[in-house]
Amino acid sequence: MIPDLNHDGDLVNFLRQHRTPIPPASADVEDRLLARIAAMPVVPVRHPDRRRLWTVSGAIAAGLVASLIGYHTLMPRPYPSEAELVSLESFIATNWYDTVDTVDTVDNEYLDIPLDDPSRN
Amino acid sequence: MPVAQIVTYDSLSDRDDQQLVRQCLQGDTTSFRWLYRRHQQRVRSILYQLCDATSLDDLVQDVFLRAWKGLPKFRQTAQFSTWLYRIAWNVASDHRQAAAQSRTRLQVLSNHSAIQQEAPDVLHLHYQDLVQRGLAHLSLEHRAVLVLHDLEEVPQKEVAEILQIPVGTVKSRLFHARAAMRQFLQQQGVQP
Repeated sequence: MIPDLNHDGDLVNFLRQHRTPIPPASADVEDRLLARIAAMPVVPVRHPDRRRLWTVSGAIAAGLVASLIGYHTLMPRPYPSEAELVSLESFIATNWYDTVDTVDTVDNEYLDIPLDDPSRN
Repeated sequence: MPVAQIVTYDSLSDRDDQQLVRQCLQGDTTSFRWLYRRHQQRVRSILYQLCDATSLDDLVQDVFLRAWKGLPKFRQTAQFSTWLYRIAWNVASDHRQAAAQSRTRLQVLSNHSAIQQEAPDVLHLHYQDLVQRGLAHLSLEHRAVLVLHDLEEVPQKEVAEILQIPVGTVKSRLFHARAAMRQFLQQQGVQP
């Protein structure tokens, strides 16, 4: 019977049905292979030791945490000293009064001009 | 006596590939013998379809030798057979490149004819010859996909892993390989 090769299934069946049989292996292939392998010991690849890896990474993490805690605990906080506070307070007070005095002067001068003064318009 | 020393052949044959690989990594060549027996026929078939019969025994040996040497690097989460067929594919590719200029198709066909002398059916012999010539007619990439998927019945996903190409490429190559094979057979007179 002639196959209908236009269908994939029929084509595949045809190929499988008429594939060339595989030649048998020589009788001693297996033994020759095993003899060669016996002369070649397996050299295991050294994978990184997981336990050691965990220990090292744990130590690094602990070190980082300790550094952070130490930094926050031991470093002096950026608060000003008493003298600096006094100096700062006086500086602010002086500047504040200067500002208020200036504004007051300008406002007063403006208010002192009579309402019927032509220069006011 | 250690347990490992009283392991029998029967118990080894029941073990899965991963267990045998683990035994091999401890230097147990008997476990490798079982891996060989389990997979050699399919490796042999793939190599035969991709190469030729003249050096088949040597090629099979080469595949298993490379596998033995490469076992320490084998990721045991992967499937052993896929990894082994990948080695077979590499061996076949290397062999084809080396032998490209030293052999002619005529020699291969004469070898095939010699093997088939016992077969009684002339038409069957003729079709076998056509299939073999049709495979030879394909490019190596198309041929590999057709052999692995259609002849060896390896799933497309596994074919993709063996050839290290996307599944979409496997489908595309399969389509073109079948089309080329169909065209070849029809040109040779195999018509619906």
